Amino acid sequence: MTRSLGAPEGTARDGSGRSPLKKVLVRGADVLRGHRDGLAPAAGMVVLGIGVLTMPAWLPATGFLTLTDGVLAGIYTLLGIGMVLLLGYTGQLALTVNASYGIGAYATAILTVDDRIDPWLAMLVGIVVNIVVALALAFPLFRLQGHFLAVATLGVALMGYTVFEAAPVTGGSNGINGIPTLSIGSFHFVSDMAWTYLVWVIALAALLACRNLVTSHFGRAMLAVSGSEAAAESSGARPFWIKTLVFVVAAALSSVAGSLYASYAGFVSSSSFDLTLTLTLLVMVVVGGLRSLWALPFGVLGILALSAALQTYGPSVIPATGSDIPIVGYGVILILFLLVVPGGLASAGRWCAGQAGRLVARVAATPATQPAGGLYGTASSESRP
Amino acid sequence: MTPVFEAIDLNKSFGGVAALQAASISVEHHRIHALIGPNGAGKTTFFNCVSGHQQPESGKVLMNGVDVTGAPPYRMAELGMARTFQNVELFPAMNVLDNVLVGDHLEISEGPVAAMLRLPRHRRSERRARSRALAALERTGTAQLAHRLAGELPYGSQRLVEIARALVGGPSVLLLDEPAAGLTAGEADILRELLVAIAAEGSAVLLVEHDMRTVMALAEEITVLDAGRVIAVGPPGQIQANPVVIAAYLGVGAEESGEVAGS
Repeated sequence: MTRSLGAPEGTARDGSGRSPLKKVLVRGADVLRGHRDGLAPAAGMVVLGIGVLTMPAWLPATGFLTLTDGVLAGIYTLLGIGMVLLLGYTGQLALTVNASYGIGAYATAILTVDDRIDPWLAMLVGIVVNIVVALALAFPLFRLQGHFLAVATLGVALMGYTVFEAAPVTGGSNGINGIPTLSIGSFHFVSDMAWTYLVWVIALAALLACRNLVTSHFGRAMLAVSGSEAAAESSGARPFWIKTLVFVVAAALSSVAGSLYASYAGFVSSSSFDLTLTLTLLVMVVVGGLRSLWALPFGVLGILALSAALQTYGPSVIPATGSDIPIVGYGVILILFLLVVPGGLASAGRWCAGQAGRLVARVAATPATQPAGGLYGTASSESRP
Repeated sequence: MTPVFEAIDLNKSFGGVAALQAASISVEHHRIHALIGPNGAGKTTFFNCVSGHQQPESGKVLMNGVDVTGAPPYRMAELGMARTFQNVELFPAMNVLDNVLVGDHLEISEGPVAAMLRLPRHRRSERRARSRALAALERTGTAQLAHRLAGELPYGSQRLVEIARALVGGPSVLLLDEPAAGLTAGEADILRELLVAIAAEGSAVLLVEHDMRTVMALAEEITVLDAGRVIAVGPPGQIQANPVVIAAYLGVGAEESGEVAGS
């Protein structure tokens, strides 16, 4: 009984048994069609890992991206995870990411600028401050629902920005200069390549941990809260604590992103923490897929590539456009994606994988004696509808 | 024998209109208790007041003799109460199995860090919860739907899945708001057998139901609400013959009800 439950209808079990190649094909077909969730994280890590390892080769080859974009993509991925968890899984439009990102960045900037304390320790301090702030904010904020929450968090976001601009310790729009870089033992992270790898090791670890979280009872409670708070609560999941947990996780990850940014750039100023950041992230998350952690890096890189391409080639197509052109593009992309592919690249990818899986399953089910022409014939007839 | 669950003299009004007036009920282990009454009698308000989704203005709610009046829904869940909703509150974006697993939330005690690191003990908890959820689906006859999205299911299946979610945690009190509404005859049969089995295992079952065939076949005790008041309590035979109940259902004056009952 359980066996038939574990494998939903249409699983290509029929072709199993004979040759090892067929077994591999059958398994591959199941993975592609999403029937074996257990292998998804491994596959995701392998694909993203290879993508990251080869970044120094393919990023500059695009002509408009550099390794700096690779580092930034890792930082944006860390920021985007919080938004996927909050908005995608828990259904809470909380727009305070610029504030938590800024707190992390300024913690590192202020504490390390004269080599006062170790940058890693400063990162930890940033995390702790962010968690305390997130807990303090959660109590008033999560009494609010829907658009009331969105507006209230927008207020917090603006307050955060104002503090970063006006507080005596932040340097305002002049910023803080001369922030030392991170180091492990005697190795100092200086080159963009070293930074790309460092930032992405952290980002991929965070992705994996949060993927584990969303597939656990917490993730189910998060989706339950976004589906029906009354039913979630009757099942024993406390909506307030679930929202607070996610808010705290998001703040901690943003804090790490902020600290990494400060150490990498060596300079922070308030303009990095305005609402443009929140809007950009929102577009990245929607493009990747609101409920997909694995697709997030693709959304981030896609938008970074588009914005770099617009800045490189935009002025030659439409003269007299400056650096604001990506912002116009974001709006268009946001609307297009929400209308055409609301599930983002994740749903598009899942659809393509499903099609490929069906094709592989068909190939695996074909008798081995059949000539190659027959294989392709069957496969193409399958893919037609 | 102390009742596992008791509500005493609950009062609740909305904008001056009394929805509940001194409504009481007492439910025991191993028993199926039905709450019936004409539309607008206050049955759903009663459910909401005892499950913590609404606060009664006065009166008491007791679980195992302990006063838990005003406790929020998650607290009632911790105390062993589970419920379904009149309009089926499933989580549409999750598959059926995950929906039922939410009902088992309290049985997985590991914290967020254990979940993030996927520690072995958390994996074991998840596995156990998963087999309990599959067993609950099996009992409601919806196991073959485990991997379907809840939002895509026909109405009757959604109801049965919601019942599976309510019973997966092994509640001591199970509140069901119109569980038979929208079920096919075959599904209703499964439901009836299931409720008898759940009561036999020791749970107290309290159901609001319009389908009199189900009520009369299952309930050992029936409480009748009309305009927020309890107008009758007793076994099915008595309730069927009660002139006050017949009057309330047919909407005729109490003095004429004798005729109606006699005819």
